[in-house]
Amino acid sequence: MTTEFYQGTDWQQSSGPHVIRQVLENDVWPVLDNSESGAKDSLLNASGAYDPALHPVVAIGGRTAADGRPLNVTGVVTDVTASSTVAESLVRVNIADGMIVRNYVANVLTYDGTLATTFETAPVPGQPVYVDDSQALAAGVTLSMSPLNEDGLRNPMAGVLFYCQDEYPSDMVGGPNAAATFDSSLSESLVEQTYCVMLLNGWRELA
Amino acid sequence: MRRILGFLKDIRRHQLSQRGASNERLAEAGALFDFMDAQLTGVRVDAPNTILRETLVSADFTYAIMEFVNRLAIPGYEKKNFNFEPLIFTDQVTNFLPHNRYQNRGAFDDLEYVGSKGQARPGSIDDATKRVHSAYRFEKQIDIAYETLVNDDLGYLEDTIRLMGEAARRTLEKYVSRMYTNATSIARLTGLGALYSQNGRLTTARVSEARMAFNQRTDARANPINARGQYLVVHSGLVDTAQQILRSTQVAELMTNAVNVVTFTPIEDPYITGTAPNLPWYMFTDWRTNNIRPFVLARLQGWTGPRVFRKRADMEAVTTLTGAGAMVEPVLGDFDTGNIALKIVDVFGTYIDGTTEGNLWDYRGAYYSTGTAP
Repeated sequence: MTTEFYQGTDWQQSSGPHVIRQVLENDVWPVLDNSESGAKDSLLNASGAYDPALHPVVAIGGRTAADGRPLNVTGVVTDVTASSTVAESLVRVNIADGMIVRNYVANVLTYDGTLATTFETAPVPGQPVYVDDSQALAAGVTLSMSPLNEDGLRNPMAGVLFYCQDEYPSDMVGGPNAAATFDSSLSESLVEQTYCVMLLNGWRELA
Repeated sequence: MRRILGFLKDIRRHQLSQRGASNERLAEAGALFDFMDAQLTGVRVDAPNTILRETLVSADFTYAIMEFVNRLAIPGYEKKNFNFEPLIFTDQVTNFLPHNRYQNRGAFDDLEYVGSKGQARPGSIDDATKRVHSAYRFEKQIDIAYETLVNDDLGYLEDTIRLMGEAARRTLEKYVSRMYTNATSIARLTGLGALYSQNGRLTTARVSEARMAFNQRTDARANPINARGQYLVVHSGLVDTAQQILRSTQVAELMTNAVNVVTFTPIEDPYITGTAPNLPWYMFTDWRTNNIRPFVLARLQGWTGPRVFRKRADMEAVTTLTGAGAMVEPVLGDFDTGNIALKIVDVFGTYIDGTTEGNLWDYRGAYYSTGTAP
């Protein structure tokens, strides 16, 4: 149960690519009140300044089907220029396909109303993850493995689970890992933990 | 009041000077005290009829002395080194392809009695022991925004190159440490039995056991070889124990006044893991004296250490659209993003056998203890 978006110096797990586009805070979700819970973490800290450590994966655009969901562009927040009007803060999002970032991912597969009911217990690299605005997810978690949110709306695809740099076996070149360390075993309940995600704007490509 | 302020200025400048502050910072501190002094005397640049540039209130003086002036980056931690060089044989490789090395680890047969007019039986020569190793590229990169570098008035990021160099050395130290701490290498030694491994904690008697185990080593034909245990590699928690063993004139754990005869060269490996009192230790030969090379570090020819690279700014300064441009300083970074990109590269490798030998180029040069038995 993390109440803060992913932070730390290891959020970038690949050196690129970088395609950084700037949007208003009001246009990214699920952030702050722009979510089902209305209480997601904020990109700004308590004093209204950008917390430069926060790097959630977000969707850009409207959250309703009428606004085009799930064809929203998704990406990872790189930084923010804070405005006194939070909604008008400028958020820079890396929308490049192929960028690998570390983020919190919930193992939810389906919902029954607002309740998460089924869960992935054996995630594998390449498994799709989605930007999910459901309120079952903690305030700091924006990604799940569920293609639909709690209202049955399709979630925009954010990318796929992927290996972190230190999860590859490396003993064949004298490295420390004798085997892959990708965590592929989870309990049959809500688990929100960090995974590396290779960002792919899947729905946009399929549209 | 002005005299007090003068004293404060001198004290502050002295403090900063003692800390090695730059001339710019000394001037900056001096200018701020001069400003306060000017406020007291009424003689100031922003005198009447000049434009008001900035209004300072009492809280600003506190800020100036307590926060703004009093900023200084102090050196980071001193890193611990692992001086592994005596343990490894450095072999230069000419490219990234596998390099084969052959060593005769046997001997010619003993001579046999031959009776009058008898014929000598033929002897034989062992096949060479083949070892293959390659070098691999190891890298890490970082990019820093132009704004970040400009904002870094403390020079905090100036240390980045040194830190990258330290990281390269640390990576190599861990690499060498893994050559003997990896499970396959350990399994190889424990599988060879009492002359290659034990479970005892580090004591004089056990170091002696290890030394005597080396003393009984034989070649592939079971002929005695000169395999002296020279380097005692220990967990960081055993450094004092190793020194006590080395410096004691008598065997500490015996009550019989037995003379301590063990000699060795202790090497601390801070990357060996273990929880006291179960701390592992190793002993290795000195390959320089007996050609038993427990480990090999492959180095690419011409690449003797890590190198740091910076991406050149891919733009030029111009005053006209079609005229010649001028090179710009690298700090301006990338045309697209303003990023300054750095990369550190090192090239090394070793002998790797994931099923039997681990990284033991020659197991006859190694000895291992789990350090678990009291």
